[in-house]
Amino acid sequence: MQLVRGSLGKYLRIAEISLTNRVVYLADHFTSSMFLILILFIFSQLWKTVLGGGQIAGLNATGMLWYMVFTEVITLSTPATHRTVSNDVKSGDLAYKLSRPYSYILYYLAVHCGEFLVRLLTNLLVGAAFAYLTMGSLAVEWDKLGWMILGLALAVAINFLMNFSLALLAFWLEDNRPFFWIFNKLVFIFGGLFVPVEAYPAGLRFISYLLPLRYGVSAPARLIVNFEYGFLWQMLGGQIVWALLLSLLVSALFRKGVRQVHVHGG
Amino acid sequence: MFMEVKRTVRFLLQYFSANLQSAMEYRGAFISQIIFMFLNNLMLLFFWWVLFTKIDSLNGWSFQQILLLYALAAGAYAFQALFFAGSFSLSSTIAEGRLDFYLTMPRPVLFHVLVSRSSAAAWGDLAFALTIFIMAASPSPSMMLGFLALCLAGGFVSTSFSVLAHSLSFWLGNSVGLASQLTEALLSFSLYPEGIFSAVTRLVLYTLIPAGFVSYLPVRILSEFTLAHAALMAFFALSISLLARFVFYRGLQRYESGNLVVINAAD
Repeated sequence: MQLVRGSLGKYLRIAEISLTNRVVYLADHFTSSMFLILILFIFSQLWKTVLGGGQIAGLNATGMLWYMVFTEVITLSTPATHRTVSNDVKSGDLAYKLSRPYSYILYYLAVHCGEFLVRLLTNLLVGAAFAYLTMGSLAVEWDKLGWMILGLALAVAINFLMNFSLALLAFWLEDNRPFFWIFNKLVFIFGGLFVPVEAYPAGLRFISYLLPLRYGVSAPARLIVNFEYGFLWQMLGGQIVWALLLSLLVSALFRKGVRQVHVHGG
Repeated sequence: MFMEVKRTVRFLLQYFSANLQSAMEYRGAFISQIIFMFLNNLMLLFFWWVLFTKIDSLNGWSFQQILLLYALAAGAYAFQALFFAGSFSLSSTIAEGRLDFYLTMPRPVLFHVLVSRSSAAAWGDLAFALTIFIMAASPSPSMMLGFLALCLAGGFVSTSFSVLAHSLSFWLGNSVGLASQLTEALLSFSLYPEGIFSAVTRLVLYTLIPAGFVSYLPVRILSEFTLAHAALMAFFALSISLLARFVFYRGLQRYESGNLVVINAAD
């Protein structure tokens, strides 16, 4: 028990250091939120024109914009940890990190979480302020906040694991960037970045429900905007299954990849 | 005058050819970049496809016009990225004192900086623009020429806007972030139909952030050609190009060399 607590404390400390490092660049984070305002402005105009008083997937124009606030906040707040991991593998820095007294994967998960939290707060502040001023408030069911935070936390883990597994392809591929380009666009489609996947034609909706992307972006955003217990259980079930499967995949890829590392000293 | 134009075009093509050969040195990476960029753009259309399964028209804009919008925006971007990719990094070139190299050369500084780089992935944008245009309009040869001319004019507008945004570095110091946000805004607005925007926003989009001249007006010209619209397009493209040139050279008077020893090589 003592060992687990000590080990957990180590990663919490790493997350805290990562968070503190990002707080130094708080102004930078607010500046980069300008893109969020731009895209929210465009979509506030779009949904007002398209929906008027109507709905898509059970959401009216205000609901659609708030949905987008949360999907964009999740996506924009996800740090580019995969880039650091790819660089570690390509540059050989991985060899130094392997010898340190921590798990390489958990170290980056902790760094990822710390940075995500700072970005989340700045982006959410900017996005929510914009949505409130242009479209009005969102009726959040505050007593369900715990469930929403749990869904968001699992989404962070799933997004980290998906990115990490792609980054580990650097063990075998010279340039893994094209996979990230396509991955980002798959997030756009099957992650439901602009529209809830519930608005898709049946076939595509079915595929979205099977893939992990929806559980990392669309589902937690939809839950916050329109809380339903049935939706919550389906989402949590999918998130837990995908978090486990992706954890197994990442650890298998990492073990296989590390076997190829040759350390020559220096 | 004619000889000067000829020399300039030859200079542009020499740089273009050198950049292309350099990109093609890694043939596999070059082809994969083109394919991935094509797919990347194609996926952007997915949102509109889903939306148009729910609605018939968006304030007068049909799905076919959205396709034209994307073809023209991608075409304009492709022209900028293929011929004038130096415009994307102009502010860092200014802020880091890397203009010294161009100042010592017997060529117009701005033109030289702009043509010095070319993006290989932009071939994917060009392929996307042509494919989508052919699918959406089944064009005649003359219409295809008109499309290319509009992409070229749009490319001049977006390049000039980039030069204006990045030239802020002469006055503000390192303003890479601001310049990239402004150029990002131009690109983002040019990918959404003007029908969704209010009158005030449209005014901005035909003046301060001229997305209207990158894609909206060109779509109108292709859909319902009028000489007045074509003349307005040509006039605006020429005017903003001259304005960008004027602002850049005014800013250049404030440029201070960093006395850096710089090797001018492609990234």
